[in-house]
Amino acid sequence: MRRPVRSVCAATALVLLAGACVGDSEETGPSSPLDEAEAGERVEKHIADAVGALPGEVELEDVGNGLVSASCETDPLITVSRSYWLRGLPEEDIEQNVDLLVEHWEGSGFAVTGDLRPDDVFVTAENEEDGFTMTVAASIQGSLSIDASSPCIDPSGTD
Amino acid sequence: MLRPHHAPERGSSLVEYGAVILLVAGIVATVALTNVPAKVGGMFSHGMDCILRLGECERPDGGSGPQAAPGEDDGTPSDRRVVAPPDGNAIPPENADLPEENGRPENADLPASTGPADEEVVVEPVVFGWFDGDDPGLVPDPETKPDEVNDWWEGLSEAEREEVMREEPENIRGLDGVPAEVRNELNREFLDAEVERMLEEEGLTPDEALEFTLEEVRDDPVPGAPSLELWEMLKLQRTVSAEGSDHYILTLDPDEGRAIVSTGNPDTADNVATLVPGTGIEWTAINGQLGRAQNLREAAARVDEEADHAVVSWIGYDSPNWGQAPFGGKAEDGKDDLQDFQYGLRVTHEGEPSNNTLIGHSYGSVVVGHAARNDSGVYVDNIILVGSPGIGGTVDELNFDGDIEDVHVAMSDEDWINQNALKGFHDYDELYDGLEDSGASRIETGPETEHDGYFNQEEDEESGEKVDTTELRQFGGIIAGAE
Repeated sequence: MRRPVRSVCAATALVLLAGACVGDSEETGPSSPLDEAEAGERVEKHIADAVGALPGEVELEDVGNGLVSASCETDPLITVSRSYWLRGLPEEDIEQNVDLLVEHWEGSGFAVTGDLRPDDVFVTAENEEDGFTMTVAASIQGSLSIDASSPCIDPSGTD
Repeated sequence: MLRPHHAPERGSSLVEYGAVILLVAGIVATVALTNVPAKVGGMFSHGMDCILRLGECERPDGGSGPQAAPGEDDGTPSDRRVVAPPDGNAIPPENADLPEENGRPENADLPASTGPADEEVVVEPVVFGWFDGDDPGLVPDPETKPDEVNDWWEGLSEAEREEVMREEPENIRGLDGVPAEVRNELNREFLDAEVERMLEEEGLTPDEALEFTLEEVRDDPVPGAPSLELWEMLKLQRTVSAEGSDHYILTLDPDEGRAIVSTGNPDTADNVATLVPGTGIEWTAINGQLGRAQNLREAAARVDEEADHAVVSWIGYDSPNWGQAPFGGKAEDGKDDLQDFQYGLRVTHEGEPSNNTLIGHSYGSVVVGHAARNDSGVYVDNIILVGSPGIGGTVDELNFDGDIEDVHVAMSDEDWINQNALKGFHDYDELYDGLEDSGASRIETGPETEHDGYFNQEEDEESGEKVDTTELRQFGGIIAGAE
């Protein structure tokens, strides 16, 4: 086989192989050493702390059916989350209550990472230390809900 | 006489020979994976049929063009609902979720077609066949369309239904057109029986089996660990049996690699979404997918707390591995099943039609694209394409019950799909170029949302960048019909 042809074939094969390998998703490890149960406890704690910043008696009502474990891209990592309705808050105080939650977050090691106001009452914040995220949202009926979610964790933990 | 002297060839090096071997192997693998020989054979035989019929023929890939005559086998999966008009322009389906008096939706995708003699030809639903040839079973053929299945089911007496469920559960528990409650009941019985069988085979109790982690079961198996199938079935069993659970198992078929589970009742919910996953997702991933579905359902509930929402985790096709992902073969294979599933949701829904949304993530969006670009279209009101490498065409070609504004596209700058050198295989540029001018909606994404971060929250361990969940909020709004 002539040398130029050999070189072209070799180069083509290498380019194709490189192209086939490109695009594989990067695998990342867990973002927290907590296991599934500990992540669930941390979720509840963050929610309780935030609700404590609201006035009056707030009753928590599950949006779904308790803690939710959802898959991350890298098996077996999951996120653990929970959402609650905040019952007992006047609808006319929605803006004020959202501001109170944002203020609590910013004073508790969270950074606001998303805010859809004024188009939508929806704010999201992330804890700069443990990576947990929280959101507050309003339904079209005027009810506020809050949720907290862990970063991707290994269900068994990494300790 | 002197002869010309040529420098002797040194021969190829080992590296060069190896590179050539790899190149040839890659070509052969590509041909095999995309089933080129079968497709060429099918196209040839289809072409001969067209010539002999002297009429319009439907292209094997379902695209516009010459059309198959009703009942003719053109070598492609049959879709007896559809007859494309001779000029090849797809007619969007009418709103198929308007049931007629007898509860059967209009066959909205049966437009009149003009044959070679300019006579109007209307395709009538084909009477379903029977199993095993001369030996009639109790239930319709698995290829029977959902509306005909539902007609058959609704026509049965209570006693006949009980008989069918008792005698042939395996033939109806995955059949589109059978109500969700019936499928759920039969699939739960199957799940319980399978779990019992495997526990006995493997000599474990449920608690013993679930003591092992996924890594110990699958990635780095340890002695005494259960099989992955048993482990995942046990987790599914616990999830659907948990107090307050309202999961509906619509299909569970490990042999075929299928698991379709709804969180919420799709036959009664006001809003129903179907989540189609991407590359490498097998039926054993159903538990993780259920978590994503729950997140979506809660996101919809947080938008509209008074409506009922259901989100279906649809592992209903053979998802590709990474080598197959650049190609559309798996999407083409799965599109009919996805179409039939959506049609089945319409057919079995009770009361007012639900607001239905189809969400395709990654390669799942390719499947959605193939299903919705087919002439028969897909019976949904909204389409969400998440982290899509392309859909094999433009959004204008999507054929569904909504308008172009009801197509929503989510693609973050940080999504690795944008940097993938192979993205052109699914017509990435056709999807994204001119997207804004098309009228389709662009989902606002977080600044660092990665390919799998649209449904969860993630933190990039290397960069420390945060991602947020504005995407999930927007998905929830679309599912709830508020966007």
